[in-house]
Amino acid sequence: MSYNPADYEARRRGYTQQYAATGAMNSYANFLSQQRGTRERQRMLRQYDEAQPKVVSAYSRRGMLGPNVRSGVFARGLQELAKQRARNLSEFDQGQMEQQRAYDLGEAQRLEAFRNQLADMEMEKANTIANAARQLYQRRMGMV
Amino acid sequence: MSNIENDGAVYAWNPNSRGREDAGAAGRGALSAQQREWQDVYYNPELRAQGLANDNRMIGTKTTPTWNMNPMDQLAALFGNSGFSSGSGSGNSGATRLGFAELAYKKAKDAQDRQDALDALAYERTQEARKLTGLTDYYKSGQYGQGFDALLKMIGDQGKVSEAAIGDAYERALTNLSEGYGAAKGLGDTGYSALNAYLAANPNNPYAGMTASAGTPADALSNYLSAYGVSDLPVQGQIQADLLQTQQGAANFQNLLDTLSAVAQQGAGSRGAESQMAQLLFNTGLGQERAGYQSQAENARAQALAALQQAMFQSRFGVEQDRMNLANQLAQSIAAAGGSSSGSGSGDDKDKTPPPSAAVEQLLKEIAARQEAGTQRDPVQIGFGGGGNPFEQMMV
Repeated sequence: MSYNPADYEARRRGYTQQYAATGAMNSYANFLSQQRGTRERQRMLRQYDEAQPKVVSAYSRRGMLGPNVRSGVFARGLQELAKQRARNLSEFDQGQMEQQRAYDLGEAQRLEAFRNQLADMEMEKANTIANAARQLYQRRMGMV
Repeated sequence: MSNIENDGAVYAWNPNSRGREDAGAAGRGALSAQQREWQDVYYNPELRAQGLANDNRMIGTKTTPTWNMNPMDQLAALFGNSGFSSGSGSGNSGATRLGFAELAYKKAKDAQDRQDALDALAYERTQEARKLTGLTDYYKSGQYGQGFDALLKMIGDQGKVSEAAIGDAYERALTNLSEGYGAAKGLGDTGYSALNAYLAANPNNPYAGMTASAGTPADALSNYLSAYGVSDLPVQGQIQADLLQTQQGAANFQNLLDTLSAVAQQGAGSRGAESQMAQLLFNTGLGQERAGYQSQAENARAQALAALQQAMFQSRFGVEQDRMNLANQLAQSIAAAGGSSSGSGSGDDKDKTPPPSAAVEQLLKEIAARQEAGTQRDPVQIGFGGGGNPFEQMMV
């Protein structure tokens, strides 16, 4: 077993390139996912914004809302709309957050694996150097 | 008075003569060894009576005309003044005189050969005595061991050099081992230090900054309701209920984040502990390896030193063995030459005469046999008669 630094540099470049390429692809996918989530959330907010006047108008036509008229049914209906909106947004945000956590966790694990590759390679290189040193010593002593 | 008698053509020696008796031991002592030999060997009255021996009565007498003649003068005397004449019937013809001359030449040649052999033997004995003395001195003085001592000193010096080299190699191994350990430990510590710095600078807890918010509650349309005189209390109740639910969800999510953050922190702490444990394991393993290498180096040094000692022992053993072999060879050579390798220094051995070589002994034997055969054969072959024997004149 002989020591050749070029082999390890080539492997290092290969590992780094693979890690970088995969990271770029994942990052772009994550970016697209965030964009998609943002658009979805904005669409959701826009829908609720558009729905709120219609709900008030409906209660008004039924006589549950007017000057000096404050119907309990209207209040519960409006509160239910707000709660639904808050719950849907929260669930959406939770989903987006979990997706981001998954992405971050995956990247962290990928980084850990990349660093493990490099560390393993450095360990292998050190062992190779040590073995080469022993072989050189043996050759110098004329035992090989 | 003289013991020489003139017997016709030749002079004869009468041992019973007054003059000879007067000469006594002094007269015989005046003879040379060769003359005494001729007297002892060739004067045999019994053989002479049978005509088989020479009359050597003239030997040792100063009155012999040819006493001091050389062989050529003796030949001249034979042919000119000896009284041998042809046709006299006494056997003194020209052929006879020629035979005697030849015999005299052979006798003189044999004597010269014997003297040469004796001289060669004496020379060889002297040479061998000198050689023996030299060998004995060389052996007893211990000079033969100087080269071996030098070799042993070289082996010892080389051993010290090799031992120092082994020690240097071991020290270099230890230095290399320590430097290698320091470099490896520094490199490993640097790696783990970089890891710890990274972990400290990049804590992995992305959930720490996250908070779960409850969000903004929805509008209760209070103004709108009051414009119609309607109370908003029921709406506020609804909003509060939704808000409570949202807050509960946020709290749950926050609990989840806190749990994840705690898990992440535990993971980071575990990773830090893992880094420390890995670094500790690395340093421990490296230290164990260093201890193992150090042990191997020590073992290698011990083995090298053991091998060096064994090699030095074998070398010394070989040198000592060669020294002993040479000493034995010298002792055997001295013993074979008649000397003794025991005792101190060159003493009586110098005076000892080594035995003659086999070649010289064989030559002496051949000369003696030839002289013996020539002395007994030649007078018969030349028809030596009962009259005067001119051979006696030539031989003295």
